[in-house]
Amino acid sequence: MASVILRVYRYMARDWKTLTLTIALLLTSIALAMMIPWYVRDLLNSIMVFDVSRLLPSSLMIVILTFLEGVVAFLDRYLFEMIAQKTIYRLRLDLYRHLHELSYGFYDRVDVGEIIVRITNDMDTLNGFISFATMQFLNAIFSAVIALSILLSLNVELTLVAATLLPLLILIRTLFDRKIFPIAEKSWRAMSQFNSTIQEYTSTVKILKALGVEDVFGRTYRSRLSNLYDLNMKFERYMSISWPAVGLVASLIQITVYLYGGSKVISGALSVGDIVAFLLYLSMLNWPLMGIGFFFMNYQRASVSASKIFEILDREPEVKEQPNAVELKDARGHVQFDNVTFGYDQNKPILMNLSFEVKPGEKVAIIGPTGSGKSTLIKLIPRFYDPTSGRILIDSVDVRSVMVKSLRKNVGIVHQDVMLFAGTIKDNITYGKSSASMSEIIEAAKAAGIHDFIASLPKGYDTDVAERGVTLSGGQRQRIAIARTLILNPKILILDDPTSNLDAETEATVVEALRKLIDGRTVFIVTQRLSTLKLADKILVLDNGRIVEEGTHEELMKMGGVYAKLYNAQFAHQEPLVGSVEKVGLGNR
Amino acid sequence: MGWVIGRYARGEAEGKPKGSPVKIMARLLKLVWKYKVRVIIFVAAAAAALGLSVIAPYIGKRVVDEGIVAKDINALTYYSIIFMVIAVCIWALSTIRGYSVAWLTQKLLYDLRSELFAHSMGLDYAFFSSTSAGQVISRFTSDVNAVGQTATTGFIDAVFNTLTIVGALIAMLSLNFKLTLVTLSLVPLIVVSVIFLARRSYRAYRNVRAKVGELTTNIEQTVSGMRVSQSFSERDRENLRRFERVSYETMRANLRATLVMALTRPVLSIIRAATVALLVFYGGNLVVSGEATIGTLIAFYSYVEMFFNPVITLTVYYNMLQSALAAAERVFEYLEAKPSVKEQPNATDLEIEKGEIIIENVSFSYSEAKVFENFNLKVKPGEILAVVGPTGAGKTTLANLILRLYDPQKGCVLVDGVDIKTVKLRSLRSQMALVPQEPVLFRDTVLENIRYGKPEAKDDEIRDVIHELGLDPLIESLPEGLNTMVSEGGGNLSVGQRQLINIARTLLRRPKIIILDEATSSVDPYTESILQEALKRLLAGRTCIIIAHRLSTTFLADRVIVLDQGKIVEEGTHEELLRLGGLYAKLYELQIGKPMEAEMLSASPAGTA
Repeated sequence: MASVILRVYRYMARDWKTLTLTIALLLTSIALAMMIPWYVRDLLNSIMVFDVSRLLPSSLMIVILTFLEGVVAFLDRYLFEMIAQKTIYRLRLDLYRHLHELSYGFYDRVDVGEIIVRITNDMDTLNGFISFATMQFLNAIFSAVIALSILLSLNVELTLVAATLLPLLILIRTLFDRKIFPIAEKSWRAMSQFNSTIQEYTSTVKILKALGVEDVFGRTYRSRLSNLYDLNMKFERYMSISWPAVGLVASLIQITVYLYGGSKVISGALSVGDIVAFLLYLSMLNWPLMGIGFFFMNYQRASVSASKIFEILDREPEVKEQPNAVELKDARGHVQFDNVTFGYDQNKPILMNLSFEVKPGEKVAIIGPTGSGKSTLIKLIPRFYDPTSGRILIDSVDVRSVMVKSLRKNVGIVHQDVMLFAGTIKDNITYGKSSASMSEIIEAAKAAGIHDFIASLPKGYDTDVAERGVTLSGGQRQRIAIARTLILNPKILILDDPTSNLDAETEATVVEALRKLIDGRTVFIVTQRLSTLKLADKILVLDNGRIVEEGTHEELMKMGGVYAKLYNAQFAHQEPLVGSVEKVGLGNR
Repeated sequence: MGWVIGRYARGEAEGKPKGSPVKIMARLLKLVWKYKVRVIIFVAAAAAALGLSVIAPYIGKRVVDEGIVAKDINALTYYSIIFMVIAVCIWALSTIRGYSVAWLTQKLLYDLRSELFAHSMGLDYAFFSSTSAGQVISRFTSDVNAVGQTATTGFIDAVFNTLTIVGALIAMLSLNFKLTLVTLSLVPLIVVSVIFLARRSYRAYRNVRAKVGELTTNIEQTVSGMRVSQSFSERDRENLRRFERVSYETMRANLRATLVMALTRPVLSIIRAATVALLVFYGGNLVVSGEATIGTLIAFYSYVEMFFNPVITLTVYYNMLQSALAAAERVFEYLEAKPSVKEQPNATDLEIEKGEIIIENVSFSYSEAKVFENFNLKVKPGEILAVVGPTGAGKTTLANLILRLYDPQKGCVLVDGVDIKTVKLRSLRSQMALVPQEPVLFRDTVLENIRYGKPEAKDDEIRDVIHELGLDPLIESLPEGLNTMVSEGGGNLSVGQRQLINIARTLLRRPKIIILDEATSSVDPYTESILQEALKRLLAGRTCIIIAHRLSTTFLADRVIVLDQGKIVEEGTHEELLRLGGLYAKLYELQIGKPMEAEMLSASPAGTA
């Protein structure tokens, strides 16, 4: 818990020069602030002896000192904020960079909303904590130390008496800390969960209303809301008790001094002026004590935020680049799967002992029922996941020993779920190659069969794509995604069901264009459309994570096996397809 | 369609409230006043604590004057004990006060969030399609949060700060009139400078918020698209650069805002110093001349503190108040939004027996875009009607009108001869079902997702439905069968598995009328055949309208209509339309391939669609 905050502070340490300056300024401002009571004491003493000559100069000093103190404090605050902002800036960048290194597996499991919360809200909380609360804390500590020193110089005995209650404060703090941290964490989670519930609501609201089942969701909503409320209340309960305790301790210290010091004055061991001065400086302890209390209040939430951020920073990416990774130059596009086994969950393998070879320039189509592992297979080639056992070779080199960036430059993949980014169509197509020339862009667009459509738009390639490709049809989005990959001119091309979202007319266009484009490349296509299958030199039929048939279209038809039956079944389309699955004998566990 | 809430769709920045701030504040306070008892307890505790803290320096003065200076040990002890008692009471009362405030804040947040949802249930679909998800989400989260703090803690603090000022004033006046005047002399200066600085800092923080908004959008894009950007390794550098830039700008905006905020310190310090100096100077003279005691002077010293801090807090509060009231206003506007598709007061239940749908002279447009004009359609009971046509022809709108997600501007929709506007929404919707294009999934188990079709259904009923549809093989393909958890957006399920939930959910309702918005993503042939069969069983004996995109289900239909720009251009059975050789035939050919040539395709490698 404490260590988490210390880690954050380590980020601050990089600015140690400025930090030293701020501490110097802080000490100066505190010293200045401390001097004022001297003058007040001076004044009071002279008032006591009815000497008015010192009134004016002392009053002036007070004004000047306070002014100086204000200026110094301002500089201090500003510099401190600068350090805090830089720290957050660095932390954000580190987090961002690390997110880029985390692999597919991470993104499969994690909730996007939660990540965003960490980068925004949690950083914000930390920001406030580092700049404001920490500075206050330092101020408080130094003020307290200086005040204590002055008090000691005034009267050692009184100071010791007053200080006996400070350990009490520390004890209270420690006890509460231990209790509060887990609660703070739970309430963070509750807030996060509530946020995702709202998000879920907005994305499912149409069907909820259409089916008239909104109140079912309402039950979920209400329980999450109650949970949030309960946890927040618990946290507040602890806070409300501990916060005023600081003030109580301060008062108790004051009383101790009153009684002890007062009796000393009465017995003549101390002058009134002395005790008055002491009391004035004692009251200077009040504010630092509050400051320390305030710091610990914020500390809780900040600790939780910091721990959430470090949770991600500390996560090891599953797919790591080896230290002596090589570049993949002049890839020929020879791909081999050597006894590959893989499962998202190690105990539930999806691919089992898969072995096959694809020669450079060969086009391979992969078909199989749902869950047979088609999409998974192709994701292993660009190393989005590493196989549990076995290896994948490109040009006889294990992909694990290739630099990830180099690998992905040579292996282009068009995913099934299309994601476009905010920006123009041109921005999207050049996503992976910002230096692409207009002719390259047009060529890629033509190959994807979308150039004509883009050209028909009033702004052409400069048309803005609404976030996440909302204003374009599914087919259009897919074709832009295809163009995006094609422009990289990869030697190995992977297409995960590229025509699934296309209607017949567009599919035809795309297939035609693809035909030209796959020339000279090694291509893997996951598909179930006949027209696309025809592009392949070789077909792999996958079932239950194993290859059950392999060959060209003609060979497989002649075999009269699984593939042939399926092929015929798909084209007896007009009749009901009852029992075609059983006929074909696939999809059984 | 004249929405009050339409403004939200444009996305406004937080800022000043449009209406009267006083009215908004009053409304917020009314919400808090629901919990009178707590409020009173809080007020009482806070007042008592306040009163005691005002008295404390008084007692301190007595300790010094009557105990120490006068060297009276009894007085010393006496007043010290009173001081202690006061301190303990202040602690206890502060605890009660702090807890009550927290309780009220949380309660207010809870109430607002409950009400927002309850009201959402009454809003129609049109509202949600015209309001961005982001806006809706901020109502529930950040806007409510902003309100929460300000309405309770903030407001109450403000009141008490005011009372503190008043209390300190009274105490000071009762001690020494002249010194009080001296202390107050520079207050106007404080107020003026704080307002000036506060305004500048408010502007600066608004810039910060804008930058943070940019940052959030950047991250959202990148993180959601992380898988894609990982496929394009060169992109990483570019993305990082952009992120760096926005982060840097955010940092600078923050610093600028801090600069202004920090300036408050020296400004206030000088004024405070001047006040103290004046106080001591003038007060010193008074003590010398015997008009005041030294204890009084010391007391005034602490009252000055008690005075200045509230003034500063109040000014800061004033600024927070602006944006908080703006947030509150947005929340209230949401709560006042009215749906256009409303249940009529004398709406009745309808028992759909035949399932005949008549669309009579319907004209409909979404704000400016006209979709239908004098549109007529009759769907016979139990008929399966396929609606085909290019994008924007009105297919989805047709579905929305039948489901009463929108009301036509002219004309009406009749089910079994009854205008659906006169039917209770619940009654109508419970007998209809929408099978959307993309299955809508919840973060729950597959079983629960299916149960959304009929919340009261028992587990066995669900299993029976799955069996009836022949979807068992798809269940078996799930890692944990029906208990598999569906992740956000259904990412961990295949397309086929998602469709399974879609179809099973629909049959569970045993609806009389089904609107099937055909899925656009295709699946492998194995899964396709299972799903096709399931669909057949689902649609049997019910009136169905299939909005066909892929034309793979049109052969299930009894009749097909082809829509183009809101008009029926072709109508007939699948065979009739093929023979017609018009728009339908053309679309079908492209999609499926000429029926005659299917066998020929298997011979030549160069076949295309």
